[in-house]
Amino acid sequence: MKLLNRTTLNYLLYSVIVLLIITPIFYVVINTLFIKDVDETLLLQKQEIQFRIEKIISTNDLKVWVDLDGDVQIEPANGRTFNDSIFNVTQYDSLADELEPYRMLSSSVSAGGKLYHLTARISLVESKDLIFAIVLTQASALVLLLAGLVIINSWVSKRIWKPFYNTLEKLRQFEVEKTPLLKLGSSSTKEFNDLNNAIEQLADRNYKMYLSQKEFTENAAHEMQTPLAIFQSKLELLMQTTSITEEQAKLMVSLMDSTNRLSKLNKALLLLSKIENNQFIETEVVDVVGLTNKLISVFENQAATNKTSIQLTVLYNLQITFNPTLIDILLSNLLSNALKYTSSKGTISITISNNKWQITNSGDQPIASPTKIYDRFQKGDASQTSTGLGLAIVKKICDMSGGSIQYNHENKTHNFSVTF
Amino acid sequence: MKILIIEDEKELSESIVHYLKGESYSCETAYDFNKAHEKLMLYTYDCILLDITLPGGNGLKLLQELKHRNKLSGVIIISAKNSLDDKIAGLEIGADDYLPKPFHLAELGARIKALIRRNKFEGSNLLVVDSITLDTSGKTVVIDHTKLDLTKSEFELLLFFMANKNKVISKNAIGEHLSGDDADRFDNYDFVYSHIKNLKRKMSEAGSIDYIKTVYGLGYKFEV
Repeated sequence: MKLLNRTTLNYLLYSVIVLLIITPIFYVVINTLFIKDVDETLLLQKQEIQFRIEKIISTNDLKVWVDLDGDVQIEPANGRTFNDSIFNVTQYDSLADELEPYRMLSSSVSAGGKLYHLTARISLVESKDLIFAIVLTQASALVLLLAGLVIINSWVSKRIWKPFYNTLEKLRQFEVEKTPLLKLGSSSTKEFNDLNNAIEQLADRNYKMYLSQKEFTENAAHEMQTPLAIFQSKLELLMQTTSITEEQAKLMVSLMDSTNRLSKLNKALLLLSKIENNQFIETEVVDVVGLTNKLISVFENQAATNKTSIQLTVLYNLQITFNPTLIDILLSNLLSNALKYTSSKGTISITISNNKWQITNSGDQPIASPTKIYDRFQKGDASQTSTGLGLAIVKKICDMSGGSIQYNHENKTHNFSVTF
Repeated sequence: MKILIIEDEKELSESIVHYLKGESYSCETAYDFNKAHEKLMLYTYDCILLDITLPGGNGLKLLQELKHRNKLSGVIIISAKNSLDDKIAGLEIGADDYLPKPFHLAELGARIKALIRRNKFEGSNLLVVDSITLDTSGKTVVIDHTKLDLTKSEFELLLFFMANKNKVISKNAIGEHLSGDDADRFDNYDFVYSHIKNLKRKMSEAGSIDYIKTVYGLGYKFEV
């Protein structure tokens, strides 16, 4: 749920509750006030009747008055006294032809030394209508207020949150290798400014760490070359010493293989960091078919030793704009990888189509974890000679140059295809 | 033949001196820029091995000065920085060769031999070891008046052996030498076996004695 909806929903919920509580209270208050007013009117009326009744002494006059005013009844009290009391009654209204609610005063008035029983009533029908109208108006006003609140809130929020969404969008596009500097701009809201500053600082630290990590890889690889060279040279001198026993020779061979592997690893790491450092940016038009043919002949000896045959199918004379070093390494690594994992007397076939370079090699077993094949130091087997960086370099080259690589295993063949 | 080894890593420098001992070379060493500069000003060398990063200055400066003074020494740059820029800069200033570290001593030996051969014996490119005569320009090999029909790889292999005679050379050193710039592409150099087998067969067919000995899986030795 959006933050905006969440806050608005809370506002709305609160407003509805307030509205539900306030409306009946409002009704009760208005009603009470009205009844009080009616009661006062009735008492005033009684005083007025008391004042006027002094002037009317004949029973006839009294009757005429009562007849004229349908809401007042004055009858001889017959010796009883009535205290003032006001109550609700429902009486028949001959005009409306139905039962209507009335507020009624029952009291005593005296005229010419005689006591009379007075009842005066006021219809509550109008008052009900009035109260209803007032409550309705109030409720509509509240609803209107609420709707306005929601609309204004969402409109203002959208405007207020705009810098936040801008920041979010820029963060999504942020890639430390490609756009090292993250510029988020400033906002008139302090909180967003603080957020932007914090993120910019974070991105900056991230970039610096990335740089130092990159430099470390490169420096470490460079620095390792010298001791490696010394080690290798001493080992080769040791090989020249006289009367080497077979046991010593075996130890030397395994030392030599490890040195060789270390040296290759070092070179591969350097290459990887050079690719990451964008040191191969010049591009030119590369004849992919020509390059593939060249690489096949380069690997001829290897393939012959492994009794592997390499077939090339050209469906399209593909020419691409690419860095010549990188495309060479890309295709070479894939071919080398295929050779490594093809069983003896297997077949490798390369197909070049209008935007694809595809290489398949026979291999019964699918790779155990295909999602990890491009990770550094992932090896298909515990091969002594492999650096485990070949496919990581392939992936890096594809990523850096906007190409893509897919792998699948079907019909007992491994299949890598590069889409340019 | 006088060789100056300008290399700040003493151990590596000593290894090179040790390996080249026994050949008809006299090796001198310099461990920093100033010492190297002094020696270069005072003496003339047939071959100079030059490291680029030196205490006290950049090796390329020495090279510049050397070429400026028109000294006719062959220069091989040995650098830990295997960068194309350094290589191009070095070769442009006038270095004859570029060998990135780590390198096989056998490879260095072969490069020094080739450099001295080019500089000293102009025109004559004959390499004679015992009964074998190898012509580096005509790419021909003659053993006891019998011409050998060798492939390019076999020829290079024999030349490599002859340049490192009486030394044990590892399979990797041979593999990398034969692969040249493509060496980094390969995970193993198993193809070396078949080249050596074929070379030995062709040599024995020409009536040659067996010069190439296998040393316990360590490598091979061209024994004279």
